[in-house]
Amino acid sequence: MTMSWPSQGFTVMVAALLLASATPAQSEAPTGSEIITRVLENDPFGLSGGSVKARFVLSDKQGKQKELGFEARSRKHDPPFSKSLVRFSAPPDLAGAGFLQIQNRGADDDRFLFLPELKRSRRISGGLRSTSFMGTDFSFADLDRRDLRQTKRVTRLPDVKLAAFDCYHIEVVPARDDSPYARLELFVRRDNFLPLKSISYDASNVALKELQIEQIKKTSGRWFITRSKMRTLANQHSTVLILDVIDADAQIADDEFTPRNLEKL
Amino acid sequence: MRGTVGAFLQLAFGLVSAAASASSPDPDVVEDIDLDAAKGATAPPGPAATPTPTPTPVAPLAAELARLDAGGFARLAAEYWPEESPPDPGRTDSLYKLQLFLRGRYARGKHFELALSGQLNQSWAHDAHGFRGSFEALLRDAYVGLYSSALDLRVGQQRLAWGNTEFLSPNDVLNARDWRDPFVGPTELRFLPTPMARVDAECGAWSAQLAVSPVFVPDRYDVYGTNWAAVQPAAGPAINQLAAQTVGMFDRSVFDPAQRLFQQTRLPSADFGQPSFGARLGWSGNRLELHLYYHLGYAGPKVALGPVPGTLDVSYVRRHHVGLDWSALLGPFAWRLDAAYQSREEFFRDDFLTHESRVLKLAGAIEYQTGDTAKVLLIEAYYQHLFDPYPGTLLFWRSTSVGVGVLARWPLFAGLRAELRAPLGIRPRNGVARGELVWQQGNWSVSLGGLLIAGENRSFGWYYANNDQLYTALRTDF
Repeated sequence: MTMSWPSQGFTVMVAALLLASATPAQSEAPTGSEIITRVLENDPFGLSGGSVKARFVLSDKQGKQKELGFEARSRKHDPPFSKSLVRFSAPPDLAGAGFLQIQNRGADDDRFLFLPELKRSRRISGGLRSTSFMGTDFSFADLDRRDLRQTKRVTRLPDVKLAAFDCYHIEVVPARDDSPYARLELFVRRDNFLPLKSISYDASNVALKELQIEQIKKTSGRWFITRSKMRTLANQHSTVLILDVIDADAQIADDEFTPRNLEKL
Repeated sequence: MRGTVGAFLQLAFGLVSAAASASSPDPDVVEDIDLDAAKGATAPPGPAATPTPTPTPVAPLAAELARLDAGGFARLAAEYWPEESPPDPGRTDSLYKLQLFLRGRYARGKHFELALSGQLNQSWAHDAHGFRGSFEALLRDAYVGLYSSALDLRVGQQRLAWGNTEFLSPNDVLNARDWRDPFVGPTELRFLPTPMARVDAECGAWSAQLAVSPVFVPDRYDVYGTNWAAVQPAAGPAINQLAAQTVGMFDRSVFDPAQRLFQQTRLPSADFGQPSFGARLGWSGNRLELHLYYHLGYAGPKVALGPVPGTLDVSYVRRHHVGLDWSALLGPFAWRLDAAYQSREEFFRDDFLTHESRVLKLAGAIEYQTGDTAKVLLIEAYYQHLFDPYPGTLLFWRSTSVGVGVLARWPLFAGLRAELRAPLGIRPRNGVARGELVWQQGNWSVSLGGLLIAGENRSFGWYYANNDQLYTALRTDF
């Protein structure tokens, strides 16, 4: 019996299949929109499903730092939209405060803020996309990612190499009137579709903010951006977002995302 | 044959490896990325990067069974009231306070929570007789929460805030208020948590809440001898002399308990036989929210002449309260409305007895929202109408009273922020304005502020007109 050749060939074929199934399918020339879709599907900040324990570290130009600790729980509803509940643990004067956001497809997002000193949940405007989230350099628009979902134009520019990484270079022009940005420039890693850097511009083409990725982590088969820095270029203020603990598999019940739950620990 | 066996083993190993990799999670992979340091990186616009904080050890996620959250604040305050002319023996000219507020919550899973909080106050008040020290320990929240996906039950002493306006708050009727420091102290200490059982339920856009208080807790206030006491120089010499003689019968070491005894108030029975009951029904839509309220509680104190000449009968009387609040969002503005009708409420007359009337209260507010809790701009208008007008003069209110309230809080620079809180009456004309500068560094803050009060005859601003004051406070949160 001479089965060696066919068996070896079979082995190679199986190995190739296994290898192929373990590697994300990649088009040779994905369009800008396809790349953005992959970026959003990756949900690298863990804001659309799961649970993260994280910190915002705010720094001013003198180097003074302030830290906001929080835990965020989220789940997808009406994909790609999501619900998220953020509970702050630091600084002490903000500890116990809760923030609930329910993204809506055809309307402004519902947002509620619970402040323990008032013992009241209050609805806050869903139209405040351009304003800062709790004093950080991240705006509500930066966190809701709508400007990447609802676009007027997505253009794939010539690929670039950023540090040691081959990157797709994408320009996005948001469609929404309430977008704080006239256009966004993204540098997306070709191998895992993580946006290594993004720069947002105003209508005069002045760069307003820059988001730069400093650390990524693959856990439960998913890539997360575990440390990223958002800089507001006009005032040299920056905020580092650090994801300390990630539970990507957390299944959070839909009924947790209600104002009633904001009051609980 | 050896090759065949080798190939078979290779295949088996490959399949086992593939199966193993499919059934067990991939090992975590962490990559640090330094785009600025690498050659050939796109030069980022703007200034150099600030130092990156290093990760610190953190507690695990909330999915675990038990969670404990504890904190609070310590506050040292000094308050000063400029001397009146002529000096008033029943007033404080300076006050030094040390306050410690502690809170803790323990939760187990998603279904159990225990909340405890309390405060320790030590104060030294200086008046015409010298310094008077006072110590007070208050238990605030003390409740157990049992939660399910359909219902939440909380039993124990708790604060339950109804309504959504800042100044008149017509629907915030479930908890007693602490009137001994109504303007300067921390906001969270102005209401007293009350024993109650509370049930919350939600179904889609609808929510319902029931609250039962088995015992009545009256407002805390001093009768005489402090600057926010009920009896002030404006009450007239006869009442002041009587109050001074009565309080003077007690030694200064029992000044605080004497205040409660001096109130001589008949309270509703505390044997669970005269409970209060409240219900709230809510509806929440996109950008819109509505709540309806009903509360069967108590109005008062009702002050009437007693059966024995020269005595007063002070009591609380049953009343019904119905109300609604509505809030809507339009662009960056939040619009809020609170409305309430009460079947009875007691209003002080200028002879210090009370007048009883049915009353309508309305408050409407517009808040400019920034998304940052450190930035608040809010203006509120309020209206109060008595359906049973008093033919004489009331203290503080008129048959129809109208006013506005302003709340502004804004950061200035280098950790400094300014705050103005001012309820201003249009009818009757009077106002209280509290301006404050707060300098915050980390968990420490220093505040410096002043309170100005003035008003037309028989208004609140007139009655407490001697209470213009300066204050400073050092606070740390932990």
